[in-house]
Order: sequence, then C-alpha cells, then structure tokens
Amino acid sequence: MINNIVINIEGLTKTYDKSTAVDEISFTVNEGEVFALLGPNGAGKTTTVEIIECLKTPDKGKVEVFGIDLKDKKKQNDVKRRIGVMPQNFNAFDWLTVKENLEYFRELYSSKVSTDELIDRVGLRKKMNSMYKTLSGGTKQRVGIAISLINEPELLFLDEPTAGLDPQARRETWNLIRELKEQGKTIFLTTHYMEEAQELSDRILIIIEGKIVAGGSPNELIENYGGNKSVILKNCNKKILEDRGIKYETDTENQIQIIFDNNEQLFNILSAVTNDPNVEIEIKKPNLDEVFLNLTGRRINAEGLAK
Amino acid sequence: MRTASIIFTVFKGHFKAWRRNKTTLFWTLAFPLLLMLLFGGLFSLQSDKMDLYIENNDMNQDSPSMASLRIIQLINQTDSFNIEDDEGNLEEQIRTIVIPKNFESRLEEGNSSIKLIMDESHQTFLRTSSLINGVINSMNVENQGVEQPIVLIQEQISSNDISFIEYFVPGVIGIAIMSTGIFGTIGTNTKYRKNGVIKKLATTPLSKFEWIIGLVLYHMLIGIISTIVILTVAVLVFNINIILNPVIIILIISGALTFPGLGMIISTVVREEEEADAAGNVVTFPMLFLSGTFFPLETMPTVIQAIARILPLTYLNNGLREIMIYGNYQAALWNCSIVFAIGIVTIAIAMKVTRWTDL
Repeated sequence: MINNIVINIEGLTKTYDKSTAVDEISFTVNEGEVFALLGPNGAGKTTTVEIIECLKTPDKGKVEVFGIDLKDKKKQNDVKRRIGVMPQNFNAFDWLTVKENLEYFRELYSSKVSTDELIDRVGLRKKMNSMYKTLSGGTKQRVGIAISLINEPELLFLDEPTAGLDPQARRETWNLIRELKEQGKTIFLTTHYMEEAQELSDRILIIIEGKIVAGGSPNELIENYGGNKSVILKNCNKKILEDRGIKYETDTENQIQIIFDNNEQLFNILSAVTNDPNVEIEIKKPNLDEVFLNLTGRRINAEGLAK
Repeated sequence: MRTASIIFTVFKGHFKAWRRNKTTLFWTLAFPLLLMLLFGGLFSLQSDKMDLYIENNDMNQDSPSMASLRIIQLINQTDSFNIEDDEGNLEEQIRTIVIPKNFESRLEEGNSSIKLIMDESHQTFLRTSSLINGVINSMNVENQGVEQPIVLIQEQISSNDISFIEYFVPGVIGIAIMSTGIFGTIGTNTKYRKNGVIKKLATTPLSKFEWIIGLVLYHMLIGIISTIVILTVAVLVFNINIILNPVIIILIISGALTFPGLGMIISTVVREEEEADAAGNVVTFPMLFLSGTFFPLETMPTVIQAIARILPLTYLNNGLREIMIYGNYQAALWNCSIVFAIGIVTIAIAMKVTRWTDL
C-alpha cells in the first residue's frame, strides 16, 4: 500500500531573537495516521505545528501541506480550508453557547456540516445550550475538538489536547481521538504526555531542544531505545535464584528486579519461583518514559518539564 | 458575498457577547448616563436665578413711574431673577422685559401690557413666562376694579445661548463612542489573544480585514444604541431640545471607525489583559478633558486649544453639538468629514499593524 504524504517538512528552522526553537528538522506525515510530536515544554513542538498551521513563518526550510508549499501565502487559505486546528490552551467565545460557537466557526468556513450531528458525534448534546464560559475543562476541550471538525478537515491538529485535564476527562478525550482515528482522519498530535503518545499514535517523533532525537512507531521506539524488560519479584527467596545462577538486583528488602532479554530467560526465572505461593510476580515492559530517559537522561514530569 | 456573510458573523458574535455580559452592558450604557446625570445635576444646581434684563420706558420726567417700579419690585420678589439694566448687547440678552411708555396711565385705563422678549425654544422659556404671568396676576389683583388687566405680550427672538446640559449631552455621546470603541477593542483583542481565540481564528479562512470590519460594525451599533439611551434620558430628565438628523448617524459611524481603529493600534503594543485598562486610560483621559466635553474650548488656554485640535473627540463632540443643539448642518458635516478621515486613516493603520500570525 502506498501512503500519501500529507505533510512534508525539510530542514525546517525557526529562531526567536537568538534562540533556535526548531533546528533543521525534517519529517513526513502520511494520510490516515495518528502522528505525534512528543517532547517536553519548550522543545519546539508548538512552533513546528504552528508553522504547519500557517500561524508562523519559518526562517528556513520547506513546508508542504497537501503538496502546497506554504511559502506561497496566497495558497495558505486553500490549506486552512482543509485543516482543522485545536491550538494549545484552546478557548472559544465565552459568551456564546456551545452550539453558537460551532455555528460561528461553521460560518467562517461556509461549511455545510450539521452542527447538530457534530454535537452528537462528540457527545455534547446535554451541553449544547450552555455558555462556553460555564463548561468544565474536559468539556471545553471537547468543544475545541468539535470546532476543529466543523469544516470536515482532512488533517486535524491537536496541540496538547489533554493538558491540564483530570484523568477521567483525559480518557474521554482519548476515546474521542480514537473514534476520529477509526473514521480515517489524519491526526497530528503534539503532546508532552508519554502515555498519550503511546496510546494514540501510529508514529512518534521525539523532539528535544528543537532537534529530532528519535522517531518510529511506539513499539519500534521501545524496542530500540526502551532498554530491557524486567521481572519484579516480591517475597522471593533469593537462594532459589542464586541456585539457578540468575542475576538479580535488590530494589527493596522484599523486592527483586531481574532484567531479561528473551522468553527463554523469562521462562527460567518463572520456573524458579513458580512453586512458591508467597511470591508475587510482575513483568515490567519498558515504555516511552524509559525511551525518553535513555535518550536524554531525563524524565518529563506532569507539567511537561524535562528533569 | 462570502466576505459579507463572514463580517456579519463576526459582528453578530460581538453583539451577542455584549448583550449577555452584564458588566460590559453596564459600563457601556450606565457610565455615560451616570456622568450625564451627575454633572448635569450638579451644574443645574449651580444657580437658581436667571438673568433678566428690564427696559423701563415708563418715565415721569426723569424718574420711573410708580406702577413700573411696583412691577419690577414684584418680579424681584419672585426671587428667581437677577435683574439687570437693559444696557448690554441685545444678542447676549436671553430674556428681556419691556415696560412700555404710558404703562401707568394705560393701567389706570385698564388696557396696559408688558412685553417679554425671549426665544420660545429656550429651555427656561416656560418657567420665565409662567413667573412673569404670576407677577402680572398679582399686579392685576392689586388693581381690582380696573376693567382690563395687564396682558403679557411675547416677542420671539432667536438665541444661541445654551445651558450646560445642552452643551454637555453631545459630549457624553462622544465619550460613550470613544470609551466603548477604545476600551472595548483593546479589551477584546488582548483577552482573545491571551486565551487563544485569535490564534484559533487565524487558522480559519477569516481575514484580518473581515475581523476588523466586523468589530467596527459592532461598535457602530453600540454607538447608535448608546446615543438613543443617552438622548432619551437627557430629554426625559433635563427636558432639553434635541434636533434629530441623519448627520448624527454619520457622525456615530465616523466615530465607530476612529476609536476602534485607535484601540486596534494600541492593542498591538498591549501584551497582557491587565495592561488593557491602563493603556486605554492613557489615550482616553486626555481626550475626555481636552476635547471640549465639559466646557467650550474657547474658555481654555491657547495651548490646550492647540492640543484639542489634534484630538478626534474634539471634532466628534463639535459635530454632534452643531447638529443636535444648533442645527448647523454645514459645521456638523465639516466636523464629521474630519472624524471620518481620521477614522479611515486609523483603520488603515490598524489593518497594517494588527498581527494575525506570528503572535
């Protein structure tokens, strides 16, 4: 199957005063995939996405969306008509209702999309007549996604769609994004949440200090940069392991961590402890947190800061 | 057609938000009303007495007749007039009483009269004529038995003299158009820029032109609504005479181009929502006091007059005053054309300097 390239970026650079926000990055986004740009705050994610959304002008490099070179300002409106954008920290008009906000943006696109259908699609029926200012953070994000769909876009940009949301609202937003993915939308996601990128994306690009440090599917990234899997054993007699020549690390008094590379090693560990009913076994697979840690020596906290 | 529809959407959005936000509604309508009621009330209390010029032609040799002195005494007893000798310029005299020759002798014959020379459209005319009629009635009671009482003859003159409130009301309308235009635009733009609405709008096909024109149209409607409210209250409370004319609408439109345009330009340098009011005050305060809103510019020092001549509110105030109070179309249109020209220039600059991208 030949993938159509929706976004093509080559050598993109953007500087503010003397600091380089985006430094010679190149990548492509294919039609129908959920593509995530992952990185801590200040990594250059939003600058990159805002250049693609025609909100910022690059200093250097080539940016093509649907094959249209964004250097041609006159053609930017053609791109704008085909994309849907939910910017970072999105807000709509406080004193308009949910439905009125949707109608407002529909008029801007001269779109034929039924606001009623869209309201049902994103689960806003009960809130459709509520003033935007009275909505909870999660519902506001939902409205943001609905507004970004008002022109039936071929390409959807979601910039930090769950930043600041509580876990339940985050899960609801994820489900909505999954539904959009099932409908075949191309989604460009920027996030600092590892779990979000891992849960939703087909491909991830990790960006740090304006540079791309790694890219691939979540599994590829974990495979290549996540490090080894490990088994965590609680209440385990260390002698059994020593008798079988299994090397281990002691995390705490009752907890042992054993790193393994393949299923044969895993089987050997499990067979050693399987007769002891007191042993609690947990198999730990590396995730994107480990990927990021291994690549940068730092972790991203909930606020999006790399520490 | 599409552009018109988008502009209408922007306009409608702003208007709905204005209508629903009680704080904005209050400051748009109540602030100018409070200003008008406060200053109008204070200056109305300044003096209860009205200047009255008396031309006494009823002389017995070199001294006034007893009857004429009596009627002057009765007028004085009303405690409503500052009685002046009729020696000044007739054009400066708002109200003049003429006691004719032979007033006393004709009084004895029962067919005497006195004349009130005054502009019937003047706001104090009814009060003046009723007080003078009261005086005449008292005199008639004193002269019971005489067949025909004294009658009051009225003579119409045109007068350019206006009261403080008549002078002030067009200024209040000017302030309303200026403050909603400047504060409203700065507030809207900084708020929407801060909370990301402008960024979202910039990702749509909406252009800067459509956004700004939608905002200007909204301010035109708010200007018209404010004017109607202010004029209604002014007429009901202060009983002033207003000349209604389409030129007023053209002036409001010109003001609604100028002040939101200025607000747009200022918005480009105001980064934070908290700075919006301070930035608005820097521009509106000098205009509020230096544009002849409260007192005629002619009474101010030459330097202030020179400053006033470069302020758009001066021309808006003058234009509104010329058409509403004096009915002087030519002067109103001249001022209107200046405000309109400033409006076109400010909107053109606003279009140029407003940043839609790279925020």
